[in-house]
Amino acid sequence: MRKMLVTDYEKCTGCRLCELVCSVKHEGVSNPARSRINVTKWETKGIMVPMVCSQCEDAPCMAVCPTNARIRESELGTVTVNYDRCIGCKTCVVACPFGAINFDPIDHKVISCDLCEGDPQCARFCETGAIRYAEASDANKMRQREAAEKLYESLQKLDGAGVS
Amino acid sequence: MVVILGNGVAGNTAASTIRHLDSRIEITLISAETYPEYTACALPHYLAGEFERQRLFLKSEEDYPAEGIKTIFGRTVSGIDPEKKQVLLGDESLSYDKLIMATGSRPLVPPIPGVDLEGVFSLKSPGDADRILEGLGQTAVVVGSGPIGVETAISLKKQGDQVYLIELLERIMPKIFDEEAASLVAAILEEKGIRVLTAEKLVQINGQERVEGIVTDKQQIECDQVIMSVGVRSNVELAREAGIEVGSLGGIVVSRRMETSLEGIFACGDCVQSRDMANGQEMLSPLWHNAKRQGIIAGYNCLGIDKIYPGSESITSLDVYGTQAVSFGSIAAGNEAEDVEVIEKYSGDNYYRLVISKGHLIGAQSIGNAQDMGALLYVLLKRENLDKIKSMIEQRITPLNLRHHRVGRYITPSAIEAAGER
Ligand SMILES: Cc1cc2nc3c(=O)[nH]c(=O)nc-3n(C[C@H](O)[C@H](O)[C@H](O)COP(=O)(O)OP(=O)(O)OC[C@H]3O[C@@H](n4cnc5c(N)ncnc54)[C@H](O)[C@@H]3O)c2cc1C
Repeated sequence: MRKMLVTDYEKCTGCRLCELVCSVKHEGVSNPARSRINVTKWETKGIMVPMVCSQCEDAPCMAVCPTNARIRESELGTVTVNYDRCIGCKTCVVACPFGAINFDPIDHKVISCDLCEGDPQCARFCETGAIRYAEASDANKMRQREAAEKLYESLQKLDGAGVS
Repeated sequence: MVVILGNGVAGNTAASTIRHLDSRIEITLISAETYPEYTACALPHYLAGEFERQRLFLKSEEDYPAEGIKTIFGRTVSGIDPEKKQVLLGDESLSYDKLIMATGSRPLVPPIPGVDLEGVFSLKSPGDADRILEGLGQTAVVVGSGPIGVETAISLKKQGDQVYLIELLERIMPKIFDEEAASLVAAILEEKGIRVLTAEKLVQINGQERVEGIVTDKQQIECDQVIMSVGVRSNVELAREAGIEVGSLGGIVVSRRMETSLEGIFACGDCVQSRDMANGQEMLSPLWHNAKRQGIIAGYNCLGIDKIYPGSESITSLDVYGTQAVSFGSIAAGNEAEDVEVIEKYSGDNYYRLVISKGHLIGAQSIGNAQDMGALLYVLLKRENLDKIKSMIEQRITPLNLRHHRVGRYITPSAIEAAGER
């Protein structure tokens, strides 16, 4: 069975090691701005959320790409970019509900998770288990989707209750 | 046998979808143009000299037979006979069981005196770009400031032309941005040396055989090229003549299965009008991603496999000298919906504007950062309520300032190697 990155924001301490190892692995420098995973902070709530490409089955980024440059790579099932076709319009960045497509400010290109050829460094280095590389079971896929939706909901409740 | 009219993204996506579902069915794709499939969206980059011409093409001529798709290129379909189930190519005819109209759109050419002069262009095909490129290094006037006009102006400026951008209304990209966002983009263009002339109307193009200048309601400008980018028209003439219903917006009317008013004839892409996913209203949405999805839906239903089109999304994302200008859904200006409310915010270098009606997000614009917009698009399409949106913009999810993070100073490639061997 295919594997996927499963994130658990309740376990994320915000150490950002994932961002660093990601940029080192892909760009050879430790520069979180060039990472394909982003730990996002909901400022007023202090919640840390690792955001990374879910390699969605019905991927919005693939659907919107005006040059067919986002393609499904068959071996790992990742969504990758054909840079010969990419025009850098960033419509994919806009369409991703997870904000999981980044724009490399140095190379001026869109970047997103490629699962490090099957050995994702973020999961390997995450000490709390907030990022795991696990089987792409339906349960895990659901879990990932629910996490995203719960995040929206819990925040909405907090706001509604006037906690902010 | 399935016949597809049009070699754009809609036609090709329909063809590939059908082939994927049925390895045997005969597919013939007809196009007036002779190019293999290309993407018009990359034309501004080719025009700017950033892309090789080859990069415009998504397919080669050999890709069609390899997929089992027969092609008739360089031939214009002159009529459709729905009774006999035939398409007409001059004196010849071709029979079909199912027909897919993917005839796309063409640039609108307003009837302005001088519009037929040499040196007046519009940008739609690789050939158009080739011709514009032949006359580089001079003064160009781009008429119409939609995204294509703005991208064309930027491309020509990058090539060293003196560039004027003329817009009839008070702001540029008037259909997709409100005043503040539009003026931020205009300011960038001006700073790069493009003369942006708003609230100005082109009345005439001067010249004997070639363009020598233009006349607006305010001034005369000498120039060598005029690029008309005042919008696109759906190619619906064939459909109309065949008795297929064409809607009030000027697009072919289709069901949610992309079937036209005539059974067995489907349509997809820029030639149709469709429903807005966000508000259910009929719209023209001449955008790549809509054409592509419609092509998939037409392909399925043409084989009798039920699949419903969820609706079109208007998303524009455009790189303006490294600043991203993004808009989706509706804008506030001229909006006839009741209670249109606007939230605006500057956050660092980024500008955001949300358009809200009756407690729901109906549109959003941003200048600067594109990454936050996905969550908002999701909110719009899910028709979430106002509270959530307000909290999103006010307590915007922002990445921490990473540069000073302690761990960053110690991590090196060799440290990773070492850690991996633990
Ligand atoms: C410069 C430019 C930049 C753009 N940038 C973007 C962008 O960044 N993002 C985005 O989403 N969209 C963009 N678009 C829009 C996008 O390119 C279109 O939405 C898309 O190409 C529509 O595809 P289509 O298949 O419906 O039609 P088309 O590509 O117009 O194809 C129509 C086909 O029908 C054929 N045809 C028509 N009539 C006949 C006939 N009578 N007989 C035979 N063949 C016929 C034509 O030869 C052609 O092959 C851009 C467009 C332009 C021009």
